[in-house]
Amino acid sequence: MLGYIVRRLLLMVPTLLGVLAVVFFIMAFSPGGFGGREMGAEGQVTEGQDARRLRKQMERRYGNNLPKVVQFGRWLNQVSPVGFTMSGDIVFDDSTLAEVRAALADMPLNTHPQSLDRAVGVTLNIAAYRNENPRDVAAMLRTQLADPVEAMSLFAKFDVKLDEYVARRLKERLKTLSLREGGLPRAQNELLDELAFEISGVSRVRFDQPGFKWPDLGTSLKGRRVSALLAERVPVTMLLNVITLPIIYTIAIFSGVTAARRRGASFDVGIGLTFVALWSVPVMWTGVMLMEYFANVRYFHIFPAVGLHSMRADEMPFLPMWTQSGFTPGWLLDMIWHLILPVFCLTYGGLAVMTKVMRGAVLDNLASDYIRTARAKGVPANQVLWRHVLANSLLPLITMASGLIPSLFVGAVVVESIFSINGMGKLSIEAAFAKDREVVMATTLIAAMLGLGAEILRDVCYAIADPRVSYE
Amino acid sequence: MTTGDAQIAVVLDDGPNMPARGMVRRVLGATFTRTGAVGGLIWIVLLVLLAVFAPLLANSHPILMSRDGTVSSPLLSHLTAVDITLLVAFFSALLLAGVRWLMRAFKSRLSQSRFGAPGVMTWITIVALTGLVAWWMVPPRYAQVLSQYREAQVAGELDWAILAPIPYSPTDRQRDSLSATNIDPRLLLPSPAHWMGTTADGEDVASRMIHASRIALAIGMIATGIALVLGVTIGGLMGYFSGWVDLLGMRLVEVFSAIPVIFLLIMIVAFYGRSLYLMMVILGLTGWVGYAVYVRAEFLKLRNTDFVVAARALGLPLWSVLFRHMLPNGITPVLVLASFSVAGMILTESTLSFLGLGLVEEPSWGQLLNQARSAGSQWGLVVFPGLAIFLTVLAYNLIGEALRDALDPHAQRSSMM
Repeated sequence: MLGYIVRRLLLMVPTLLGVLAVVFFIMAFSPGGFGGREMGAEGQVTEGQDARRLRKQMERRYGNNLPKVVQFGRWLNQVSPVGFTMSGDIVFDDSTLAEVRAALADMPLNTHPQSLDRAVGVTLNIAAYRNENPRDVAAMLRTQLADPVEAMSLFAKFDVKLDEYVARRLKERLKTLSLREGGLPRAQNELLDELAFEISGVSRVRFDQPGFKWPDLGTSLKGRRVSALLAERVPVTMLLNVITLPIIYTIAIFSGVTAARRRGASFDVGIGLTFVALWSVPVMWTGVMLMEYFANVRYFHIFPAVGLHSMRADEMPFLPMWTQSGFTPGWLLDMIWHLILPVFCLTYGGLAVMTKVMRGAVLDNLASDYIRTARAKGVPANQVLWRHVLANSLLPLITMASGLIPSLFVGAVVVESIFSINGMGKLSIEAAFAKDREVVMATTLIAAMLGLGAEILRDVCYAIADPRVSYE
Repeated sequence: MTTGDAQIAVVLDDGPNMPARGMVRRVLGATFTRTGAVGGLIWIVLLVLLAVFAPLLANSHPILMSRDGTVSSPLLSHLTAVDITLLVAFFSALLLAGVRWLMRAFKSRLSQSRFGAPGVMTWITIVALTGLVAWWMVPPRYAQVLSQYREAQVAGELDWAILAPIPYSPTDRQRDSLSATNIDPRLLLPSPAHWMGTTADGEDVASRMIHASRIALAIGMIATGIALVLGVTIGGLMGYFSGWVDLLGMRLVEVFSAIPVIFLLIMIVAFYGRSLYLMMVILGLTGWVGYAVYVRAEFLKLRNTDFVVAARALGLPLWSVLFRHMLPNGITPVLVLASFSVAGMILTESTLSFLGLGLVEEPSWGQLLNQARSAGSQWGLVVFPGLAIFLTVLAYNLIGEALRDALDPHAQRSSMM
């Protein structure tokens, strides 16, 4: 069994890669590119110091100056738990740091503690980027910086192509500064400043350093860590689903079994008609109707319309209680109150399908030989139904669950946007509209992993529930 | 040997098509005796009629009017290329069906079996030609002043005018209403003047609903059509060749069934802009998996049967073996999937429109339902678009259900209807 699970998990990887590649390249080849407003129409920003800074920041964060295939590789490397270290993530030990500091300490540029820090930082960046010994880089920096104008070649060492205009201006400035009396430190600092601007945050994949690392989902366009964003949003959607699934299953099992037992009776026909109709009712219609008539001051203002908590939920006690000012519903009851309408919207569609499946399975089993045998042996009718038939009728429900779980997440997109719940569904819409590549990729990754994971879980559950099924 | 050859010849003559056509007809016959399926079919036929005659039913341009003694028809002169193509398609289909009926009534059985395919081909040619000609000849009309006729009528410039049953175009915002009748046209409740009320922009909801039936039907049909063609082709090739083609195809199937379609659609709309055609293509490109898996399984069973081996041995081209000989034997159950998938596609389109990702100017049920969220007490906007989506999805689901039961040998058990 364990071997089977591992094999399935490994087979999941190419599929996942395919899904991610499709989504990534759809974004990469779109006419505006990703990033939209933040990056200008074609990913370019009109020149100017701020624009240059912004573009640099985006390039460092997303590598969007690279070819599209390389960008995808870079993203994959960043997300994968097995991969290559980025040069920006390499940390040097304290003794190396101290040595470099000592080597640069007596330079003329050391007019201020901050300027020495900057010089050390530049040295370490170059060392990590070019995979050289930091001491050698420090020595090289010493000799090069003796003549700041000549030291312009340092940019080339870092694969930085300076804009022609920027390079000419810098060169002139360095020239005038170094000609001036005592201008050398200033010229050196000016150069280091420019170097630090160009290379801080620049990172390249160090193919010589493969290994295990923490997956990194990157940074959203607004500068938040995607993992933090997901940690905030995914539990909300999870909560909705964790509440919805048991409700669907409990009701579906009971109504399915009852309908099958009273086959052809009015209960059976009624439930059949109701659920086929319910299955076709669009979630958004239900949502809008419920909002309009049950969460609206104009009709019945029974339920709240927005979010998962009331405004003052944080100040509430956890459980309902009576205080001096009267009854306080408390945090828990407040949340349940907010959850009723969204959960109803998510429940009824799956309920209809599941009941139908359950009824069919029970009918199939009721007609089978082993049930006749059990009855012939004198097993009470209730025991036949709830022990023998039910256990065997659960198999199709397990099969259906693998389709139901991803569809609940899709349903969450609509429900969350109707009831203004800040969950993953709403996040994915916001991310798409902001053209936020890292967030879109992260939500795709989660949704795809969920779908594929549900399939594996289904097969495993199947083997557990049905001893005849074996994958060995 | 000679008898064997004769058998093969018989099989190839009209063998593979005849029993299959019989099967399809039998299944359809069994399907549409069920109440649910008949109800669904009636609703869909009604929708088709609404879609085809939308410009005649709901239009601000009068059907006929007389100004200074000259009679003109602004409605006809303002028909778009799509309107004309749809009308021609409808009437030519009626005409061809009539011709077929006459032939069947007066001639031998031979002509009956021969007319089907040429008839469909003629119809497709007519529709395609009309579409092209209409697209060339009919100028697109922007910025029409839709209130001019009402204003002219109030000013007494018209001698007489025959208006459409709903005298408002879907984009008619009734800008004249406030000055002429002192009624604010926004968010009016349902009334005899506006059967389903008006939107927040002052557009007539009933008119928009009628015109929106086009999008719902088109999305369902075309996206399912694309998915069907893709799925049957890919699945057929996978099943016929098996081996590494199958292996590769299955990976493709896995990838496409793991992509969350709604996320993909939202993303594509955000990155590539809103377009009905793009939406259809994407729905088609992501919806083929079900058909492929089914047809593959069917073809794996069929690939070594005698009639396929015979067809291959006779050196028939690949497409002929695949689509003329094998496909008719495995196509009927695909209809079930297709029916459910049309329902799913319509639901997806209205979901996208509801989320504000649909078309902007073109009316759509989902978009109307989205407007209902801020419609205040205009209940017409809440009830009718949702009801239309519900009924259409229900209709396709009922037909799919009935089809499945008709195909299922032990159907009585699963028919809950």
